Amino acid sequence: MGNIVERFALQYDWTKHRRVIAGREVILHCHHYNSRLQHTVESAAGIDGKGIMRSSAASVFAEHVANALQSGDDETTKWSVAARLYAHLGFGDLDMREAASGRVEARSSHFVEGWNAGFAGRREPVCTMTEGFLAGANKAITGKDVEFRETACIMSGAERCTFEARAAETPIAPVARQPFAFTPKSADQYPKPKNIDGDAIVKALVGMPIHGGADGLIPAFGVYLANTPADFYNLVCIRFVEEMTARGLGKNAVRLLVSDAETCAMNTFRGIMSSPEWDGLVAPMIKDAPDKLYGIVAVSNALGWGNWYVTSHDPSEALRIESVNGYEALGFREMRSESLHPQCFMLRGVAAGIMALVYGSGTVAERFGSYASVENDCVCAGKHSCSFEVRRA
Amino acid sequence: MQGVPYREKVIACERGGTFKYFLAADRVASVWAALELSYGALVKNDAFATIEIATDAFIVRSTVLRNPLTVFRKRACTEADIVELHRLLEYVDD
Repeated sequence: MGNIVERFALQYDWTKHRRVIAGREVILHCHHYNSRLQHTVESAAGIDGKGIMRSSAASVFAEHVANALQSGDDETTKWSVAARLYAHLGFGDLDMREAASGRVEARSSHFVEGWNAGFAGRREPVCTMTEGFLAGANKAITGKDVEFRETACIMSGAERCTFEARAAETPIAPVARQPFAFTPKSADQYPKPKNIDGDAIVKALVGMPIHGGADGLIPAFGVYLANTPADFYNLVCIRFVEEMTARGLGKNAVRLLVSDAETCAMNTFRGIMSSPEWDGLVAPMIKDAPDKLYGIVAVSNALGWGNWYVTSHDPSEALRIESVNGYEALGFREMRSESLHPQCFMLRGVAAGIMALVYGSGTVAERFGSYASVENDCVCAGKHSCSFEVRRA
Repeated sequence: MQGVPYREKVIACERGGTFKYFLAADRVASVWAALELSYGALVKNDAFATIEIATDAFIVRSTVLRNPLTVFRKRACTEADIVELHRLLEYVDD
């Protein structure tokens, strides 16, 4: 088992600001964002949101688990690898001992923590991504298509989450990608903040062991983090917007995704800013309010989202920020093609959210919408970077 | 000005019930010693300049300055765990 964890050693690509675990780019987001995104996708009327979450996870994790397997692994070891990968990524603790016979249990769940924090009182099972993970793992391990359904959930009051296999209605689709050559702009072209040492913050975060503990969860920075494959986020968001657009609701879908990110930015970074880790590493560099914003940007540049830089900032009024390597834009280019419309909904919402957090007042609900953000340029439209403009609403 | 020790609720934490506990300066060393005696050795994170003690019930984390202490409750945390923690922190709930 000791060797299994070595398979998940973090590779950090300093040029692209990407976190890679078991050969796949992963993105750090917290339980607030993950549960909120899931809530948005699964709550939309007229589309099969659960199906989008589940099948996207199955496609992505069939590849991810396969990447982590090695020749010579027997089937028991393969299920252990899948469970350890799931825990290492921060999604929880899976008991795979009966997986081969179609039953898996979990004692902890990143998604249960997220729903409890944001949508307490929900009684229905919430671990849809785990259903897809298990189907993908099964595909990687046995080569067979099955589906898993959560038949009991901690969110509903059960002691453990329980997943049971059943015959698949459709085979798991591979993740379709097309090569997209892209050279990001150099970070040297952007002004550096005078008080915040962004490189030191990124270096500290990259060196931090951000992986699941004994319970498969990652309590850090005052939130629960998870390393989620970028492909999963991109597939879910792209498919959500496409399906909503087919029903004439594309703009609503975009607005929802931007809102989720704005709310997430306020919740997540407020948690981060009140954490001992922030107090120990970032707070000593802060001299004024704009430094808080620069500190947040530096922290976000270690999360695997890519890297972005403030190009101009009028404190409390406006922000221009440029992303040279955002996972949403590059993912869209790989999974679809060029687009006339910007596709970085998460970064757009976060840009507004961090302004509201740093310069707003009151509760998250009261700050929400106090700044408006637009994406003026996007790599998806053939530009060399994605640029965002935020103004007080 | 509140007397010490006192606590402030931390928003947007892992789950509800996360607080920062502010100790009297002259009690910091003895409180951490008591925590170590009850819960085990503290672990230092040099990159972030933080220290912590983790148990099945909660994580007690602070900067290396040791005050204030942030307590993150885990799912297994019970009221009895908090009562015992408050005793060690010398915190009296109001």
